[in-house]
Amino acid sequence: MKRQLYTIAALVGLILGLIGASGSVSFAQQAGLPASPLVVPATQMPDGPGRSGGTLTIDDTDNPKTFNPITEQESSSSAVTSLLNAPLINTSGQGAVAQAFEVSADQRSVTLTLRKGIRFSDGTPVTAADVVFTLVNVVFNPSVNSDKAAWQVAGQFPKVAALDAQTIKITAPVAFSGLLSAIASTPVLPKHLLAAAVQAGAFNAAWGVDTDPTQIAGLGPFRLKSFTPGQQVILERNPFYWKVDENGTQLPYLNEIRMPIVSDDNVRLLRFSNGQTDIYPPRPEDIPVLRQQANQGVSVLVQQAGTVDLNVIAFNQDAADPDLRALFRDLRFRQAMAYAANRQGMISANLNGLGEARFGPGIASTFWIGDQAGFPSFSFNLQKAAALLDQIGLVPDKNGLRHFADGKPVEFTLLTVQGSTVLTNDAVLFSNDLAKIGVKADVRPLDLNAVIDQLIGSRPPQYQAARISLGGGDGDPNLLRSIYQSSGNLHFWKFSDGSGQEVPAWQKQVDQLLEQQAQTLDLATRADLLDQFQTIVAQNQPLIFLYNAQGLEAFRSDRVGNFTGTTGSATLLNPEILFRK
Amino acid sequence: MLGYILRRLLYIVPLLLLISVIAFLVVKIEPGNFCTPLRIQSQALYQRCVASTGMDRPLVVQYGKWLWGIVTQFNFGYSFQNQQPVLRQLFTAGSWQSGTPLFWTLVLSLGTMLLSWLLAVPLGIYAATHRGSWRDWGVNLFSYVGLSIPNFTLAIALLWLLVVVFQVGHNCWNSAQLGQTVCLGVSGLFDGDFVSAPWSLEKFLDLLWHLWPAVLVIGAANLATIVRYVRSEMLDVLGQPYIQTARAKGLGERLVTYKHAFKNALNPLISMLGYWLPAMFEGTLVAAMILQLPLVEKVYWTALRQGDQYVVMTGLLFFSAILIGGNLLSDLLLAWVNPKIRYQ
Repeated sequence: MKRQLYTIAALVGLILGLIGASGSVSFAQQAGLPASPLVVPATQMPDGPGRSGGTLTIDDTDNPKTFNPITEQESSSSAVTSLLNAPLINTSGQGAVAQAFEVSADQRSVTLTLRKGIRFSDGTPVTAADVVFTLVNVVFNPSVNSDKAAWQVAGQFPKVAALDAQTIKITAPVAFSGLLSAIASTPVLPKHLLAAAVQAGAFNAAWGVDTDPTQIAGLGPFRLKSFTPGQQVILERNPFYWKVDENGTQLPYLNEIRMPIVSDDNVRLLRFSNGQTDIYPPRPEDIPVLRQQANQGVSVLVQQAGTVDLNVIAFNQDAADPDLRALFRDLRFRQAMAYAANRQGMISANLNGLGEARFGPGIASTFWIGDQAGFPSFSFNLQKAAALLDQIGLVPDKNGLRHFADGKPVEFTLLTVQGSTVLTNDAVLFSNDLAKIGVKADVRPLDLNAVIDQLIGSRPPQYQAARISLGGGDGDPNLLRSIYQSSGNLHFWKFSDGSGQEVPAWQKQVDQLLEQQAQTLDLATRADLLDQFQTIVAQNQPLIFLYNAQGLEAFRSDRVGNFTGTTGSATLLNPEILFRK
Repeated sequence: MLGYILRRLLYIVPLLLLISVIAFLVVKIEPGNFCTPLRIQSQALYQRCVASTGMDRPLVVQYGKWLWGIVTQFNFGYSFQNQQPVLRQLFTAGSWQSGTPLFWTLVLSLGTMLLSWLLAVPLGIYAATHRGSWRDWGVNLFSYVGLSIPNFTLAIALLWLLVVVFQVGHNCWNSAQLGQTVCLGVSGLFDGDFVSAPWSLEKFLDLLWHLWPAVLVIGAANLATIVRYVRSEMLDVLGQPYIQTARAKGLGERLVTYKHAFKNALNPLISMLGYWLPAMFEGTLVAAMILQLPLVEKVYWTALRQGDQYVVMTGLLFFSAILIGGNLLSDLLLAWVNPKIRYQ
């Protein structure tokens, strides 16, 4: 099995127990710059060092609902909060707010040293007390709506201690491979601005959208200048930002980022075409239109398909109907369904051909990508699907419709989300193909909340089958545990596994492998464990994996330099290096 | 008359109460709730959300607390999503420079209504007095087109015309007020930094540039409807014997049309004014969605999608109050213009 292993220098450093020091050099002290800023090498800038000044405009898809980076739950808020905040280390394992970090020999604890002289965007110095406050008083606080799962291992939170004003030690109860990811996904909050809210038990409401911008501070490249509900958000450069380019120019380059609120996809496209915005993450159907605008400075980037999101068809192996329950638990049936899924047809219909078929679970490229070479490939083949159904004993009648032994027709309801053309198109295409092999799938679009309720609102769930899409978080394989481990919150295809009823051997193996990799920091060993996990899941098809979309970006290359992409509709990647040409 | 008005106002109270119950039930009947999406992350997060929003309490308690807050403190609850009072989110969020949802809703609804009537009445009279001519056919054609094009199609087509055909984005000027180059944009209310800039002639002109597509979209169907009403009423009146008598007396056509015919055709039209008020508020929703206008309707629609229950309930109450108020206004206007009508 071929796997592209994306090693990360600092993660290797982590495993070896070395100090992961970031590249920092001394610069003549500039106002607002810490004593040891992080230098962004020109090699990490597609267009090289840029020039300071100017404004960039990108539409946000909706009003931000909060400026609180811990409690925000949706992309229109995170598009803003991601520019206002920064974590101790970044997701590629380099120091960020922390200048250096060291992993203990027993691989349970990480000691982090803050960048000297670093300050929040309101000019207040950052100390270890801010980090302890962020973790202990906010993230681990039972009354705060934070992502606690990312921090828990063996049911416990790590211990956090300030060794001195600049040094913090975080100790997990056992060796925990997700510890660095958890640190990298948690922004450092200013204790001086938020302690009162925590004390009053009002943190979840803190930094709401009507907060005075001067009362919001972070460590990101920008800070909030103004928010006009329904109209726009304006961010201005953080004068205390802690990164410089090779020439010693403090980042970010841009003076302002303007984010008008535009919730309609077609209008966002028209505004981009009209030159009102500089960046637009397009839909697949927009690409031909945008390519025609190449002579007007519009560039289109088509990136490799990510592997984090899961586009799947799920069958409820705890279905109330005994015939369907037995059928969905039969591996041959699930394999037949995998063969009956016309992935290329779905990619053509929904993604304008800009997608890649998937046959197994995907893990983010930050870690490694399964290229399916070693997976069983269930390419579209209705003959093979029909043969597998024949093997099960579901023989078609003279009308071609298959029946169970008790005479009932093989028929189930396939849920999709109302309003999602992609999901409904896929479901209809799948249903049409199933009809050709004698299986009747009734497509039923429901409101998103109703679908969620049917999937995980009760145990056992009420649904029979569903075409759904799941976001994969930031791609840390540990997050897959909630889906694939039998005790996971999203193990919605067979919750009975969690209570130990008729758990198949392969599921026990998956549980074990995911647990082992969570407690293994050796990259090679972890890769091997995850490799086994992916293969087992691909063989057993608990979910019918379909495809993933390629990342699409459109930007005005005559105006914007160092553009590297977006995530979640409007969240800019590397906003600090963007510059105005 | 005063007694009648007071009685009508008193009837509104139980009516709104009933509407509030229906609004609450409508929100609760929907599958799932505001917290449901959190279930994907963790059950604990979902439970915390349900507890913190009070949605774990019995329905009677939830409704009762909300109603009690309104009656005793004029507190319509708070937005789960934005963690701010409902009245602020629906009506008053924003500033003097940028305007608030209620301000823009009133400006657009009333402004469009006024413009529609100012244009429709002369057009309707013209069509009626030129019945059967090509001009009448022209007005009729315009009316049919205006009525048959859905608002959203007109809105998106208008934006497409401005951007792709007229390429308005290429028209730029150096703004003395902002100290930067500003280019003509589409959708929203302002270009660039005019959103939060102090009011000036330049900002006002920029606003007008953004408002006219909205006025056209909201007004087109209404304008066409009013034209047809005016034309039909005028034709009816122009066929009456007293008009023929007036003409036989040798009165000028202008005098006959405006003094005798139009005055009498006006009665049913004036009563329509009141009914038009709620229709205008409803009509702005589509324009707000496509043209990205920060109106009450858009805030309401977003809350509806997210199950933000108190915002939805208050929004429903608001629109119901407009409807009831519009009906009352119609009745009063009718009595005012027609002395024969007296309410007991």
